[in-house]
Amino acid sequence: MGDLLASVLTGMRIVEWCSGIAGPLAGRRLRDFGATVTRLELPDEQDWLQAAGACLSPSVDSVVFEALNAGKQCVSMGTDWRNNKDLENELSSADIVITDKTREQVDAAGLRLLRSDVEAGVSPVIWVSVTPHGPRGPWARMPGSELTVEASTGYMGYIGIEPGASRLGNYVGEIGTGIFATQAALAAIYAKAERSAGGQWIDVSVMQSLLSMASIQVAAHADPDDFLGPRIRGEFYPPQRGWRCSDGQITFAFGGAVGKSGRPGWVNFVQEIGAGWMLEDERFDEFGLDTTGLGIRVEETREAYEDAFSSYTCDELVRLIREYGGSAARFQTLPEALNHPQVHKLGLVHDAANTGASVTRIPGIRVLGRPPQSDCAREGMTGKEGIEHD
Amino acid sequence: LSETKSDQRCGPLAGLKVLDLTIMAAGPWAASLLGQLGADVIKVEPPAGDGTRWVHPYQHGLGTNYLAMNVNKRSVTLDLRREDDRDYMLSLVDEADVFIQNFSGGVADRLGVGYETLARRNAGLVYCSISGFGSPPPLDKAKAADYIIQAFSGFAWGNGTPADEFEQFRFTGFIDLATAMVAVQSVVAALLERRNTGLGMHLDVPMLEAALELQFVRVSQAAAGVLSEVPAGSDGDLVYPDGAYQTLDRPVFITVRTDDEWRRFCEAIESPELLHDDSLSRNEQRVNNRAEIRRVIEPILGSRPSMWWLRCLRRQQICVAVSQNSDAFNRHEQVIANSMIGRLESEWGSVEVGGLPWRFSDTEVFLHAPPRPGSSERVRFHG
Repeated sequence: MGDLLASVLTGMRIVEWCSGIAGPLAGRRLRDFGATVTRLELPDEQDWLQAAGACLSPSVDSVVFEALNAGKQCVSMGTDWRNNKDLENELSSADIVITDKTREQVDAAGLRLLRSDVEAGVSPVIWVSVTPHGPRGPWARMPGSELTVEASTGYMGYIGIEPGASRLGNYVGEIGTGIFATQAALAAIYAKAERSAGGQWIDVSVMQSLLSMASIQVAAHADPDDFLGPRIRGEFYPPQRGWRCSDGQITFAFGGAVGKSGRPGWVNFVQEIGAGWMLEDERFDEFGLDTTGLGIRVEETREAYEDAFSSYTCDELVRLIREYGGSAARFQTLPEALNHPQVHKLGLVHDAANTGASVTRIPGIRVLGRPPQSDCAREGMTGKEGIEHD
Repeated sequence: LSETKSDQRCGPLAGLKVLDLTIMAAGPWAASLLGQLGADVIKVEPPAGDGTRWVHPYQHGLGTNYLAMNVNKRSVTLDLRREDDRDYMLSLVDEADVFIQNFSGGVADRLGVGYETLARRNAGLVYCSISGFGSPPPLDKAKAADYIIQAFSGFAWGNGTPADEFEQFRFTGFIDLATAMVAVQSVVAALLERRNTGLGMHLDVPMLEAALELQFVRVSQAAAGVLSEVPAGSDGDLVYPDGAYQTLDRPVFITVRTDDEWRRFCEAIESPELLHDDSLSRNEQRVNNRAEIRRVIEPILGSRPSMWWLRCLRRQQICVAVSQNSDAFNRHEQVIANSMIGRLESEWGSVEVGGLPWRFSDTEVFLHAPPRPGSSERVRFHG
């Protein structure tokens, strides 16, 4: 039934006063939801992302900058912006401000009164503040990047052999913060509409986002009864690269059904691939699920699986494992993934060859169904009141 | 660290009613995040229970995964194959604003909680289906898990050292949690649309889309045909220097984003040769000469300990850090000052979870301890 929600924020004005990835991603997604987004450019500030990484030609901004900022309006402040209140006027007239400036930087720009009005709920502006390390504490004014915040928060312990040898291949802290910032802005709009609330100040940070996204690991490490499972032992594993087949690698799992005493799926699968001898190998019964996926006994049984997998292609094994009730996937490069029929069906990535812009729609907004209009709206939900604004 | 408050009516989504029929991680954390935003969340568990109750490690007998994914909820156990349990659940549906489920394909319909059935009772319901690969064939019925989606989506491709082919991020549930975040973004947007139309909708939230969103930077590069070679060890490809460099005692992680930062970096490491090298003054030049820069700066950084470089580079406002042990860092002054870890007193002792990802000055948000699973008490939504 198509994807949608593209007019949720129609008529809303977002002002972006920030650089990098997280804040501009939030602006990009709010624009995708129908808002008008204006980027402010100050003469003494430069967005590092404009010159970051590959460009399609020497005279244009980087591909990533374009992808995040295409379709936004741009307003350049004159050199006398401190005197003529242009900046304050832009910010105070917005529905939502997204900025990566600290409170001190906002105050230093002559916006102390606006800032305190927003924090006190006097101003109608919803102000989303995006910082690397949070608004308080000894690191509040310290610069931080994706790499340095990932290192600080312990993420490097879960990739590679030694912390420092490798990094996560994606900007998960910046992107995660962009998603949290978008959520927060939408939730504040909801509160404003639903409860006639005013504006407010919202803090998000890359460090906080990464720690929130680590909640499973944080809980596992708090006061565990036992030293079991990947949630507490993943930091001490060797790198996990799946199981080698004749033409690549796969990863797979059979739920709780590994071993001859388990459910029949795994048993039938190993017999199908001519590895019935695994049924007599007590390690599979003993270790079960831990021999697959990110299990803690993978290394001890890897050779047995790979011997059996060596005469099968990845696609053959993935199909068989799924047929027998397990989950499996071939390791793909990103271009391979983007060319997979499933990704095409989802319609997440638009064909934007050679433009570098507007490559993805908002994730998670395919609408599969709506109630028949004849069922009428719920009592009290008939209105056009709500998120319209001045 | 502690953040508890008995008032359940705080937060920007206060008053919202959420029915959570999910297990494991992606669905439960989506509902939990809505609860952290102030919604009233009731988790409906099947008689077999959410499997994360028995996933290691345990804390005082309950899986910590369950504890982490179910804060800010109440819980009731129902057998939806029983008519009285289903009737009670449907009475909750009648009051609910949001319904989240992550059943395997076709199961929701079989249990009588498919979208069409529920939308006939409650046209305003925002119904969120969380899955691995989404609703379209060919993979609509394929089972998924975090590591499956990491492999399929290309997420694992970018990790590791140059000799690696693929490497999993051994951070269990990471894609699940990203999926939850995407789901919350979509659900709140749908609630805003409902304010105008009065009508809910059925949203499809696949883990695969969340995994691709996490790869936004590389997806953008791929679509433009300018994808870098990966994996590249610790080196980034947007700016340079951006990597880990060995010092006298351990690696330091350094990022230099602008040409002005490059000037200050060169001053901090006392390298006038680099500072005056016109072939490295612009970021584009530095990115194209990553190997050469690494060759030059590694001996310099390797001559002194990490504490020295942390001091020098921080004085110059350059991004720098060392790799921390997460257990120790969770008690770091910066984490405590911003309440970035939530500590909740519960019957399983002091439970720690990731802190609230946002703070609101007007609609304050709080963390509440997870519920005791397995209750048969027929709770109702507040208000």
